[in-house]
Amino acid sequence: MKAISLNISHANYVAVEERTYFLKRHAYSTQLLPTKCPHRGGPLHMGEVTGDGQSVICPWHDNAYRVCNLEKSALPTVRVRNRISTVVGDTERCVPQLKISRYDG
Amino acid sequence: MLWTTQLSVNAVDFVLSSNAEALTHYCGAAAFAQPHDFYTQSPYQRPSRPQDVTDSIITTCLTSDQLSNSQHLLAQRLLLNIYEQDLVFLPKPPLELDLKAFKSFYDPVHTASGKKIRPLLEHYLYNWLKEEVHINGPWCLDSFIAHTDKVLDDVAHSESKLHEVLTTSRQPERAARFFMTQCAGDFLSEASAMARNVLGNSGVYTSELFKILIDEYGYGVDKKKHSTIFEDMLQDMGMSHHVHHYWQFYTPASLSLTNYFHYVSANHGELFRYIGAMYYTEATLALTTKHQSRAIKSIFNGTVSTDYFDEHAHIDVHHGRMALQRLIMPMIKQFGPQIIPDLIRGFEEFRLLQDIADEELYAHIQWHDELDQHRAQAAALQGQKPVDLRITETELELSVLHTHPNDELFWVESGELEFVASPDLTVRLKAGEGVVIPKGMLHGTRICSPSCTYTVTAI
Repeated sequence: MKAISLNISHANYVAVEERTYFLKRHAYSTQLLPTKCPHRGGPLHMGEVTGDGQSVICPWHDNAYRVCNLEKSALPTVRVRNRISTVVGDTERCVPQLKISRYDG
Repeated sequence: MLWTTQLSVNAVDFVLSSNAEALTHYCGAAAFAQPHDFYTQSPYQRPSRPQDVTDSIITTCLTSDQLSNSQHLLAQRLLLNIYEQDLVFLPKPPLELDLKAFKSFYDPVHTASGKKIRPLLEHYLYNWLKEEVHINGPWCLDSFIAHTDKVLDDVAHSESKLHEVLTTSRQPERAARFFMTQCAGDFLSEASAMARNVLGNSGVYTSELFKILIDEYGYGVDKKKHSTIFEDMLQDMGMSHHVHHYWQFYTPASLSLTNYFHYVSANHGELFRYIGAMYYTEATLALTTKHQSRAIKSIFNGTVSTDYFDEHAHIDVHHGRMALQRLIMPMIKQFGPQIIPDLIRGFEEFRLLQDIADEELYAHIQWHDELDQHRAQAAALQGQKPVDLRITETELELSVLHTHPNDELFWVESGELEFVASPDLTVRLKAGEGVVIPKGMLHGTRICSPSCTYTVTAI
């Protein structure tokens, strides 16, 4: 496996080969959650967050998903100040992108 | 129902007032009292400006932008004292044992007050780390190793900023001694925090932790004990080797490093955090002590023994490997990935605290080097703003070293005083002289005329 370090302000959306992840930040957590809705593959990174901040609503069918459940399919992350580090497969390409997710952190 | 609510409010008030009482009682100890000197002559003296204590250190928590706050330094001093009441300190010759001070330092009622406020101080001092360090997502042993290997590899391949700062200082020997002063608070009680985790029975891990500990303590041979090797080095450099002789000169971030290890060791629920922090420090010390040794050899032309750093450059290669292969890997295999967030948290938190302490050290060395410019700057700024505070003190009155959260203009109106910035840097300021003190920079004063009036102005 290989570790990758990114500046958090340069990446709110990350592509690892075919899989994509969006950045979700809270006071005590910073997650790279999968963008693909478990239901029909809708774009979770374009969805609303519930008022309590605990769930993301898919814009296609309005299903709400608990962030703690989505996190099980997230990338492992460490955020220290403005750096976020993650780990991907040795041969996988990790491409950070900006302005794709509705979340800017 | 109303009665229950009333009781609950009263109970909260009682807890708050009882915490405040414990703080007041704790700060009233002789150990913290106003000293006559900038240097302590006993391990039981810990001058800490208790008059500056406010309830905020037990009722709030610091944020990462408040680390220059004077309350930060004060709380770190108090917390180290609380932790060190669990440890045994005796004076070394030629210092004599003051039995009354010894008994007083370990007074059980006083110690109990410290224990009561300890979690509150820990919350005040370290809660901000939760906001700065986030660990999320599914971690496994392989991703843990990939992440930590990269961090350590980056350290291994980076230039040593410490070496550069020390050797390019305007006064490299003074800079090196200030660096050693910051190390002294921790190294003279080498591995004491680590010892907290070798008691009890954690199976094979007790033995693995014990192996690292006995290296630190020299296998029962006093000359091999790491603290003894460090004492020899201090003496070679013309410095005092007595525990906490330089107590007032420890920066808050240096104290924070020592206290962090006690914090995650004294609270055994943080064992995995401790193991992660220990892995980071042992693995990086194997790398950084090489540069430290090189800097000391170069600055003192080989006249100072660098055995302490050389020993760590050697043994910490083993300790880093032992921490990973004998502790972390089998622990993850046995207890599962649930422990990995704590392991990474300790690793990353100590790394962050170390970075902050390094930057603070470099800032102090720069401030010492540029003190003359700060004196000239004071002369240029004097009179431009109304003063915030005017203080008159009498001869020999001493202000224990402290910091301010803002840049300050310090100006002597009458009389004369010694302005102390480091053990090797004292200047006399007379009437009509002053200095700009950058925020977060340690300084203290002692009046050396029958009376002296000075002003302080935030700029």
